[in-house]
Amino acid sequence: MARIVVLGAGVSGHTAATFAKHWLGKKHEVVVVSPNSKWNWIPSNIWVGVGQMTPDDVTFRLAPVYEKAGIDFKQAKAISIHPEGDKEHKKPFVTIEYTDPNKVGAVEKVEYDYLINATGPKLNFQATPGLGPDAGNSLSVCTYLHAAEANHHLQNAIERMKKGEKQKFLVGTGHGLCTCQGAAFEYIFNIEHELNKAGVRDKAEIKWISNEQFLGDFGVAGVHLKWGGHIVSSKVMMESLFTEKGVDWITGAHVKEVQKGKLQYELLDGSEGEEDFDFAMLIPPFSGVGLKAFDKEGNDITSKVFAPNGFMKVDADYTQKPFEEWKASDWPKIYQNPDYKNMYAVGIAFAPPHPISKPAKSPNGTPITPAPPRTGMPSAIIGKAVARNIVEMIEGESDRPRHTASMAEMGAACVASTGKGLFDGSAVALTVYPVVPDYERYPGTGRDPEYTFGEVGLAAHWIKHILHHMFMWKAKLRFGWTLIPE
Amino acid sequence: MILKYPDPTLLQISGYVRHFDDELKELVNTLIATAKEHNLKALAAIQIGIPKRVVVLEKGGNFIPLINPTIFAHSGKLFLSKERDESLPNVEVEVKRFPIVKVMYQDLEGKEEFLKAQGEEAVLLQRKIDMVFGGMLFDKLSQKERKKFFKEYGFIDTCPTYFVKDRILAFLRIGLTLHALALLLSFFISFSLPSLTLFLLESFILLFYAFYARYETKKYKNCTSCQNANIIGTVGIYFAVILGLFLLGEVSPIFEKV
Repeated sequence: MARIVVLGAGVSGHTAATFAKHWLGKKHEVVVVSPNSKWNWIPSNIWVGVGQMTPDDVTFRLAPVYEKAGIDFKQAKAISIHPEGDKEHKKPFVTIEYTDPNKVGAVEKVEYDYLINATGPKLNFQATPGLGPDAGNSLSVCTYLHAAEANHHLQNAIERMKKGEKQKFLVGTGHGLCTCQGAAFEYIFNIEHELNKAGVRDKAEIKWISNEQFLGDFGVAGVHLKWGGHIVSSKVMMESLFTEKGVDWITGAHVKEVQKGKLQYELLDGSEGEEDFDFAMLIPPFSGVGLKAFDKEGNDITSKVFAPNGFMKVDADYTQKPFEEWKASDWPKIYQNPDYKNMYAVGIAFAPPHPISKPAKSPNGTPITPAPPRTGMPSAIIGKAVARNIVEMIEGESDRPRHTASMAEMGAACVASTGKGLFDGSAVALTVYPVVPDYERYPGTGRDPEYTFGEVGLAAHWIKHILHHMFMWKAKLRFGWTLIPE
Repeated sequence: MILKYPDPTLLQISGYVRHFDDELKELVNTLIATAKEHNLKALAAIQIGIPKRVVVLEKGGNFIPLINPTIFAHSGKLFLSKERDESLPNVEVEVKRFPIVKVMYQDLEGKEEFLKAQGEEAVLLQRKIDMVFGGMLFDKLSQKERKKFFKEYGFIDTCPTYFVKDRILAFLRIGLTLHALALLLSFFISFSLPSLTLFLLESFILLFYAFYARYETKKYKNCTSCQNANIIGTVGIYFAVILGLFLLGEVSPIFEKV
């Protein structure tokens, strides 16, 4: 009997674990290690952040779902990986520490035949002094609890505005190397929508701050959207949308420090500025979760297994090269660690070879470049492909991974909400192909214009709402879940 | 030659310049020569039909090339600017612009440079950089203003308001509705439908739609609703309906007997 251990139960890890168990049946074992007791459909956290959904609407308990599926669930955090085993264990193993209230602090060594690292990101608020809900100066919508807290502050702000006070909202990214500009974009326009509904829009000043080189970059070098009958870059469309909605913006900014009611930033040209606010939601940069790795003798091999940012090295080309030399083939295809072939990293846990957007540094040497986003669809596709490869190898159908899921070869669809409402809601629905531009195959923008397009409207909002229920259904492994695409 | 709207090339999104070579220098020289010839203060490569992120700007009597330019910062309050452009001749449009912008660009060697522009120069750069990203002056107008603009100047949008493929689909829809009605009627009045013939005929029309839609997709590359993904989805949905009607037609005699 083979054992697959999956570290993490986010979109990618959950997809990998559930499909692996579905394909393997009772003959083999699938173990999921996650410090969280609940699964969270993160794209809907935006609606929790404006009070349009509750944390219960976007989460469910993992234990009953895994029990039904026959997956061994350990509510614990992974501490270290031992890909060669140690003196007591011939097989590789991971050391975990329980967060389960019944076993809190207990440490266990879990052996594996195959390891899927799907630990997701560490929300690295510490990268910017004063950033994040713990420091108390800015808010976040990265987790459902953060989003609920953001909503609490939003409702307070609305109450103050109803009494005649003016409020300034600052939304965006809290560091020069952040990703997830899309989530911040959704949040700023959902706030704008809610303020309109509450009749207090005239009391609010709303401003965007981000590390994008231009408005609409979104960390993917921009997308193509329908605007006024033809396709334009998201730069043109976003500038028009922001202007129309009365939302000002600062781009090319690295937030240096957040204090009570104000922040300092550095721009791409090295100049500095300060912005005050009453309400700030700033996405933090991501890093690896801090997993360590040790060899058989107990020597620290963390730098061999993980990139400096803490994400696991896979079959990517990590050679440092300028933007002009980036290639689609730099991106991983099978997500296998080059040194330990039974170890894989999926979703946000794998180390990307380089950003997707054109990199930039200020004259002071501060890098101000969006990190590459890995949204739900690519993460789930990668998780499923890796699970398929491992299952085939376990069952003897293949001696090596056959299924590929390169982000430079796959397309992705994304729906970004700009306001929730059955009849007055709106969202931007878009597709990009490929996710990572392939400048050799598609000279110019690096993307196929026939499959890269999007549109804003009410229908897109309905799609986003339907997707919320569809993916919650799928994640709960309800009837027909395998038929629902990633 | 400077392209003029409605030339669809102007609506293309220009790609990054990744190679700082002689070809780029040649393009810049051509742009400068064209700008001088037409007495212009700035010109984007897309205006001469080259979809690369290159703009030349006159500064102090000389033209400087801005490679991969982006506006990363602005200041001052938005104001209404009356603008004309050589690619949209005999037209004046009032659009909102920032009075001061900061531009990041690369020089001919690929070195990063910064530029702060204000007044007319800032407005000019905002317009030219919009064009680099596939945006024309009218893209800065609200939907209502845009409609008025097209009516006033008699322009025909490069994207047609309807496609021939949509007419083929409308024809098929009528046929399928009649087929469904006839099928429903066959449950009450005794007559037999030529199910297989109808299935083949409807499938043929759908196939014709798919090929024609593909042709239109290539013809109107910059327009939405003519993307391959749409065509594939539409063909899938319609084929499911055609197949459903065929299968219902096949089982209806059994129901009749029951």
